[in-house]
Amino acid sequence: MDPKNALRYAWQPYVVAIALIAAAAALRLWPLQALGVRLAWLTFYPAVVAAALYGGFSAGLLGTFLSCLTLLYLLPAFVDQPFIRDSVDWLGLAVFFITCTMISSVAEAMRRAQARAKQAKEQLKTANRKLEAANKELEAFSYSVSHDLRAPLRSIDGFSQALLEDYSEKLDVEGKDHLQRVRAATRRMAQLIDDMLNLSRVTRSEMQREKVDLSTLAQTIAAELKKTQPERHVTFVIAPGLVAEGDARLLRAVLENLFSNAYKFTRKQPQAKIEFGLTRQDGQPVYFVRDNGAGLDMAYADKLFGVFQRLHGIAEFEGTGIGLATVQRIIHRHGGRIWAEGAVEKGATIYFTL
Amino acid sequence: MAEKIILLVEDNPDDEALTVRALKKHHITSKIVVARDGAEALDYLFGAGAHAGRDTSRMPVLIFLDLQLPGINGIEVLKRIRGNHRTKFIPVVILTGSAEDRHVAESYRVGVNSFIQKPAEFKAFAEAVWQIGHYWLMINRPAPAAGS
Repeated sequence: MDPKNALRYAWQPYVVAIALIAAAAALRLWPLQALGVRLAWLTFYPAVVAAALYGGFSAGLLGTFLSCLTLLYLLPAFVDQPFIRDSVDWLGLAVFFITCTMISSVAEAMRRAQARAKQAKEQLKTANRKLEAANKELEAFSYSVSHDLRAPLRSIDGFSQALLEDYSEKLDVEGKDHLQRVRAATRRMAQLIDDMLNLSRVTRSEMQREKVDLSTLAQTIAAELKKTQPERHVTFVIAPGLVAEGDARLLRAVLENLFSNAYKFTRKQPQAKIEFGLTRQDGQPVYFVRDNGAGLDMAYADKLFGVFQRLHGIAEFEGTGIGLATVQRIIHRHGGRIWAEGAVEKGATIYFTL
Repeated sequence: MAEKIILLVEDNPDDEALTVRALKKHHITSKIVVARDGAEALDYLFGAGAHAGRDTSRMPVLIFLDLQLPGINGIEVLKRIRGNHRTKFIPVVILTGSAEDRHVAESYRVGVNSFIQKPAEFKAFAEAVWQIGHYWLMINRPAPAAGS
């Protein structure tokens, strides 16, 4: 703002206060002349309130003084009788003065609070914008990194395969085994990249809330899992009629992850059982996926949902350690909570709210 | 009948070798011409630059096109291919590492025939390349050559 404008801006509240008091005086004289000398301050109260709300304490105080002066000296020139005749009128003036001073202070406090709120809102907006930009950049970065990481993998896998195919007779058993391990490692890394991409997608995608039939979804996923290892005996117990509000695609990812975890960790169980249902804790509906598999050590339960956190050796149970992190992000995006309970070799239960 | 030509536009030599390998492995015996960037691809197609004097009446029956290319990018190459009456109807398959939705959408808008994200695993990659080659060379019936 240039200085000339600043000056005008600084004077404006006082000009407004003077105009308001003048208007109050005029109103009091002409349309309200029937009142005579009664209710002398009638029009000056709202004028001072308006001046204080517009210009703060100083403008309110100016308005108060002007009102007093007007009543004491200016108006008597236009009316037959003076407004201030006795001590009661003086008392009225004192009350007017004190009340208006108080009103001006309150108005000033309101204005300041408003200004602070406005400033805080602006700061919040700026911070939000920065955060959003940083988030976008980070997601875009991890996305492109994930893609660029794929290209060399294809080379490693492809040329290992080419060696195995074209130079098979020149490689002994150990040499072939080494190459197989190279290929297995590239597959694992490819899986890691895919899981990371999924994780990044989960946070980037727009959510579309709708009613989702979790029971039917769970049945479908269970059927798909059974097909992957038809020789296993796994009993799925899925509570009927569970309907939740949320993003269908994301909630499918949640159930897929939790079910395939349960399926994986019950591998050594001859009579595996996987349950999906609804219970209540503190009056809140809580969904759970329970299995009777390898279970988990509660000492590490809080680590379960971190990226790349694994509680079992890779040789024992395969996995990238990203699945539950993805599930947690989805649950958090739905405004819910997720936690785990269990004991080693006694199965595990994952609880979540939506 | 003259030998069929496949044009492979790919700047990554590893991916080039793997693509050629996948095609040969499945007995796709067409001549494979490799262009390392967008400019070279366009030079080849229109007989300019290093490919001046090429018999441009013989056009590729299939173009594999990468999106991230040095200089003129894949989308731009595709635009020029679609913008010229001699190359307008050549099947173009984008074979790329990135598959962001906007890239996919833009490719189709410009007129790609197929969009494939290169799988990280070679077996899946080889399978995809072979299927594309097989489809466009053996199953699909191409548009009659321009001018004939």
